[in-house]
Amino acid sequence: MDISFEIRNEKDDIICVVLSYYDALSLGSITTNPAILSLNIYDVTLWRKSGSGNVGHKVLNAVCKKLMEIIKQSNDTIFCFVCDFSTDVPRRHRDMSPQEYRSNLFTRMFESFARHNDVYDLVNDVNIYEDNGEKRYFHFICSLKYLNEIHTLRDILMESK
Amino acid sequence: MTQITIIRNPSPSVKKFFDGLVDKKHQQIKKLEEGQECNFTIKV
Repeated sequence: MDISFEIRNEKDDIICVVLSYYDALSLGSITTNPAILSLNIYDVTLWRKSGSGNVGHKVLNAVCKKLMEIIKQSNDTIFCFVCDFSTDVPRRHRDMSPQEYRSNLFTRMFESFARHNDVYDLVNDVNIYEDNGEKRYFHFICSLKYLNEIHTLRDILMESK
Repeated sequence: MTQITIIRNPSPSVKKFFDGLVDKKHQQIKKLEEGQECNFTIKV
């Protein structure tokens, strides 16, 4: 089941977050590993519904807080965040690709939230691969105890034919 | 904790897999642009 929510501040800056569930059927097309098939994996989509300029820190912090709450409530949840490489994003650092900017922003959000909330049991697993000389980024966010499983999943994705 | 892994020489199917996910993201965004409501709102 997909889950969606929006974070809104007093200036009507709104970020929508959509969590798309990878059902066993989708995962079953790439693996028969029971440890992987038993995981609750969600793809994370972030979309700015309204607002201009930089997204406020409080809004980003609230996005992180809600995602971490969901992981805490259902400990076997794993978030996969694939950084969009096909649409541009406003940014000062034009030497960065859109996907690198999104990846860095996601990591900064995660690190800032973890540092300020004494979160030590979650991992932000960043994976970078090259496609025709261009870097692509995807993240897994999960409890540390699932580190082996996400590395297995990553290896399956990388080796699948 | 953040870990970074750089993957050398991924298989061609990786591109297809992740292109598919990005396409799915665009479909999700299109639904939102067309007025689909989120399940709940958090005010900060």
